Amino acid sequence: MKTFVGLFLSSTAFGAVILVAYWFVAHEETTGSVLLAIMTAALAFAAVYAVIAERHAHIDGDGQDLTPEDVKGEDLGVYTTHSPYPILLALSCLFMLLGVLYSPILAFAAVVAVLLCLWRLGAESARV
Amino acid sequence: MITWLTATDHKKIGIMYIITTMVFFVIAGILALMIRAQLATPDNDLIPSHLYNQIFTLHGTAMIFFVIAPFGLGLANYLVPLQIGAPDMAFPRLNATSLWLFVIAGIITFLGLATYGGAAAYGWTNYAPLSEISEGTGVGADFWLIGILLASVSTILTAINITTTTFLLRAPGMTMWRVPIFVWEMIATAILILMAFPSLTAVTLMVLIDRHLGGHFFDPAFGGNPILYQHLFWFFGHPEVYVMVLPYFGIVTEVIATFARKPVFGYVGLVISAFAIAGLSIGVWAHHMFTTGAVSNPFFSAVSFLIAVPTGVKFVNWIGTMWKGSIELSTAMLFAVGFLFNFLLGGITGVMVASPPIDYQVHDSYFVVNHFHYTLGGGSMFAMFAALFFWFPKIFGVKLSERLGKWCFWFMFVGFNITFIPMAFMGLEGMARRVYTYPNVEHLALLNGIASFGGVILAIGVALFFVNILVSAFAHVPVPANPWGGYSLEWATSSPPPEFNFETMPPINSRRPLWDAPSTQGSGP
Amino acid sequence: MHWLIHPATSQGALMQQTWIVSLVAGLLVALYVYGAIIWCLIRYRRRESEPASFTGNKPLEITYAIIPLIIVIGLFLVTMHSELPVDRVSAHPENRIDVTAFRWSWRFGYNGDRIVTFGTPAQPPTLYLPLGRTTEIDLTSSDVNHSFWVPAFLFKRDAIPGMTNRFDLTPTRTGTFLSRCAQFCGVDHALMTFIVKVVPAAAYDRFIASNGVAKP
Ligand SMILES: [Cu+2]
Ligand SMILES: [Cu+2]
Repeated sequence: MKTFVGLFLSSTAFGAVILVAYWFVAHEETTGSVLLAIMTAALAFAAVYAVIAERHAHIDGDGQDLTPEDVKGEDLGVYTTHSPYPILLALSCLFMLLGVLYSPILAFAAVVAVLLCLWRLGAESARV
Repeated sequence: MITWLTATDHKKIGIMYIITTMVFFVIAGILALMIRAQLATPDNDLIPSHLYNQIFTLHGTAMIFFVIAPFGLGLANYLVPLQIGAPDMAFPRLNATSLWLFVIAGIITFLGLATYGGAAAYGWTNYAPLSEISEGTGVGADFWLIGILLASVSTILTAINITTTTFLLRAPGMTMWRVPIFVWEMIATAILILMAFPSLTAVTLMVLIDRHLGGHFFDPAFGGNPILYQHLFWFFGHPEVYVMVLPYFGIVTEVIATFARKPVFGYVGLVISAFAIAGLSIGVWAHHMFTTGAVSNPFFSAVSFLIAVPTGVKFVNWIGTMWKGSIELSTAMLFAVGFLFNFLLGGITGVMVASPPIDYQVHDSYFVVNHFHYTLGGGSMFAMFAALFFWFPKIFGVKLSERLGKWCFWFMFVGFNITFIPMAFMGLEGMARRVYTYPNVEHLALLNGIASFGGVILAIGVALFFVNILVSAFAHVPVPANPWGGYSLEWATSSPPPEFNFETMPPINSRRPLWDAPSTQGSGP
Repeated sequence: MHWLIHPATSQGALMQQTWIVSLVAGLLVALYVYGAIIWCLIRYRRRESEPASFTGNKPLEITYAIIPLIIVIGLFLVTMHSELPVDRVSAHPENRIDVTAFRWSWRFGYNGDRIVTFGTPAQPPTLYLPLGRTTEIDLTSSDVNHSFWVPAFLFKRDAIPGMTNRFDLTPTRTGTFLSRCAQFCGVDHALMTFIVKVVPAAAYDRFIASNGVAKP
């Protein structure tokens, strides 16, 4: 996990370096500066989140000398093998876009379908 | 059937990803053959221009969005949990959503062909304002935009999933500095996707708004700006190039290390160079805009040149891995070596086009077609076949015929080079890309004839791969857990792996867990 | 090199230097790396003996990171050596021509639009340029993106609606050069060609003086 915090912090620093360099060379060209600034801000957000999350994290994979024996009986969480909602959600997204372009009724129905799928997905993952 | 449609198991999703990319690969390949048929002779009128424009648009779109990029993601779906010793991806339902968004995106993009007026015909770059002028009804162009929008969202979701999985689900002892290089390359790819793809989502939405809701983002008559389109597109577009290359760097590293029977040379260097490439690649987007006269050419030229350094480091590490090894030239290894040969040429022409004075001549010419086919075709596509031959036994429990495989490689390697070497010279002689016909001047007729001939040989090579699958499936020789003597975790479990991947997990004390515990190896030393 | 790259402008001659240096550097790198790969494949092919098991070599890795760095810095300097003069636009051009791209041909306006020629995809227009003089081209587009490409000048520049691109061309030999639109622009993009004719300065002057009647 420490590695990941470092990864995001150094990515943010790198984004900032590119942003500053770009600003110096080509600030009259604003699009690029704005794009780089947004990207650096997003990386900074991820980095801050990683720093905070790292404090409470307990990850088996980070234990240098941990063996499978040591974590026997530990709860690994439950993984689903099947759910009908992902494919329905994807189809609803398609019809939502088609609806926006060609038919408001279709768009409305698809938005309802998207919300229903999201609700069911949320309920499914809460159950386990 | 239903069990596949609703599956959330990462292995099933990975398999469906890979099969979908193979379907689009065949379709895009057939489109490429149609292009070569039309260009085989000068002033040819086999395919009319409006149809030809749809063909090359769909060829590029399919190869980029529905073959080379998603194959990497699909393989990662299959392999990353296995290689880090996890039971599944972190978000299995999100993973299934990504898969189906991607499949639907591909289908809707190609459905444009069935509409009146045909599919999108603006090239895969879809430059505005051209893409805001509809030829025919424009429904095909809308379908293209919807497809790309869905594909971009799907890719972002997969990137989130891969990052979280490698963060949290590594097996005990599998520290970050022990995961296989393929996993590292996928982390770099995922972070790059998170930085770059939102720009594609945005620009695609903007074109849709311009087309349907009266926006004027890119229309200079209403204060819009065509250059803005290019900035937003290439801010995604150049990183996308590395999204289509980094996973394949990972594949090649794994294949070379396995068949040279040596540890990866310069593990830390490979990791750092992956992130250096990813980082630098966000600062080079406007090298696709050198000829617009609207960007800082020296800045983008300098950063583009710099990318050659981490890429050079990778070559040193690959050669270092082979050095003093014990190299077995299996089919997978042949394809990995083919990758090295072709990608190096693509890299060298890449350094050339990083120079604006050179780009002034070759931009939008067949020289550039040569360049990116050497990186993505001769490079990534060859690594894709290396991966297919390497992991096919793991995924399906059946080994592909090595004899047929070697024929497949040599046809592809020879055919590829005969097809694409002449294109560098066509570009220098003034042949622009995306033209449906060309006059009989200079050596264009001869060069194009050679390229079309090479295309047939390449196609035979690819066809042999599918013949190989049929023949091998029919022969059905079962394979042990570790047929190649690999040393990463996926070879510790049965072929194909059981649900939730591992019956027993070997202890992990190093970068080569199976090397340390020979008892878990199926064969090999 | 002559048969491949034979520029017909002074700007093109400058860019040719970048071409030659990059090609030579590229070929040398390719030979070196190909040599190393082929050596490995032959010398270290599978035998009975155990493979080595080293995992890296810091000094070697660092050396091979610095060498490409030096190469690309050199190439960047060579690039700037030709890029900067080529992109510079003379403050007092001896001649100025307005070029407007449209779907799917070109409009050339000489002498402040006193002489105007249009083309069609079937009838490509001719652009006359005086030999040895620096001509400034003012390039724009009236619909979508196009690109003004004269392969014999090793040069292209995009024609973009809403903005004007300015650049200088100084032809160094007479001749007729097939040229074209390089940026994909729709159905007849392939036919959007034009012809550049470099003529002696005197003939060009007669062309301008006669308001386009005396074709050079
Ligand atoms: Cu690029
Ligand atoms: Cu054009």
